[in-house]
Amino acid sequence: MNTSPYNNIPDRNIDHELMQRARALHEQACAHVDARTRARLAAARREALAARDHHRSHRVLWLPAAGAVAACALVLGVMWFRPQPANSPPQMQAQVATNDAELPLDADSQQIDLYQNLDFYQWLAQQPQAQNQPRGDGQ
Amino acid sequence: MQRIDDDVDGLAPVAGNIEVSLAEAELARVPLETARPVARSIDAFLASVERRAWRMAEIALNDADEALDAVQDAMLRLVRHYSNKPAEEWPLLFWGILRRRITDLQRRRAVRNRILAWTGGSRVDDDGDELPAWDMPDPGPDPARALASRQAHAAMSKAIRALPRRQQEAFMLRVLEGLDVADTARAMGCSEGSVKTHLSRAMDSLRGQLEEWR
Repeated sequence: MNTSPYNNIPDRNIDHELMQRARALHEQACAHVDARTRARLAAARREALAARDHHRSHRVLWLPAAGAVAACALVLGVMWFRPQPANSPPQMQAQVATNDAELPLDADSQQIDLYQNLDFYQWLAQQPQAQNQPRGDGQ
Repeated sequence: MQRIDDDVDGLAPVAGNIEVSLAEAELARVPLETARPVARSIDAFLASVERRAWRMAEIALNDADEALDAVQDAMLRLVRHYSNKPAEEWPLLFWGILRRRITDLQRRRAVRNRILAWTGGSRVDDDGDELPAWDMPDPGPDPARALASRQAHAAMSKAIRALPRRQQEAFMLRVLEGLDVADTARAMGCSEGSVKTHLSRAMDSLRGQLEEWR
């Protein structure tokens, strides 16, 4: 068994004594830190806590702004990528729009039939009156 | 937790080494853990730990101002990144951060000294001996510390500083701070076996200097 070179105390006791002594010295030294260092340590602690609060306040300010930007981006994205109706392809929509444009603005539902057969009614109007009148000689 | 620098000193758990195994067994029997109360707020935790952290950094760095920088940086990082963690995890996180910060400062100092040596910046005293590249800190007036075994603490600090870095870390976290083996391993980023090996070798180195600490 290893023994101490000093007083033949077994290593186990020396280790224990050494550790207890080391810790006692350390605790004493920690308890007797000079006033200047204590003040600087307290200032360092306050600075660390203030830095956290500053960091938090910045984060609180940025959160609503980031939310608003995200909402705008979402709305723009939905508008941009909104799907077209499946039953009305673009060509058909253009055709309908063209046909509608030929109609007078004041056309109501009863007159639509007249306007759609306008050529026929023009031809009918140009026919001689005689053909339309009933014969008066009784034949 | 990520494990880094496990074998920085070229140390690994030595299997079959009887002397080391005996020392580990002895250390395992000694109640080293210190049960410290759990702080309810991050402010209270930092207030409870700041002096011990500064003393530990001062031992490792031998510079009061650099030690203060290291502690302040560790405080900032803990508050910014981990203040929302459970309070039970703060001590381990804090000591891990402080350990890495001390290591960074030690490496930076080593690089600075190397550059000074290359550029002929090293200084020589009247006897022709090379002076350190940085000025040793002025301990300043500290009568209370003088009353509390100042010389013994200085001798212990000097002996701990003379240890390899990983042995320093293991000794300070395990013995001075009272973390258990598992927490020390997590704070050091290595295995529990490595902690025991580093600590055992540190004890072997320090054993002969106990008389100076009395």
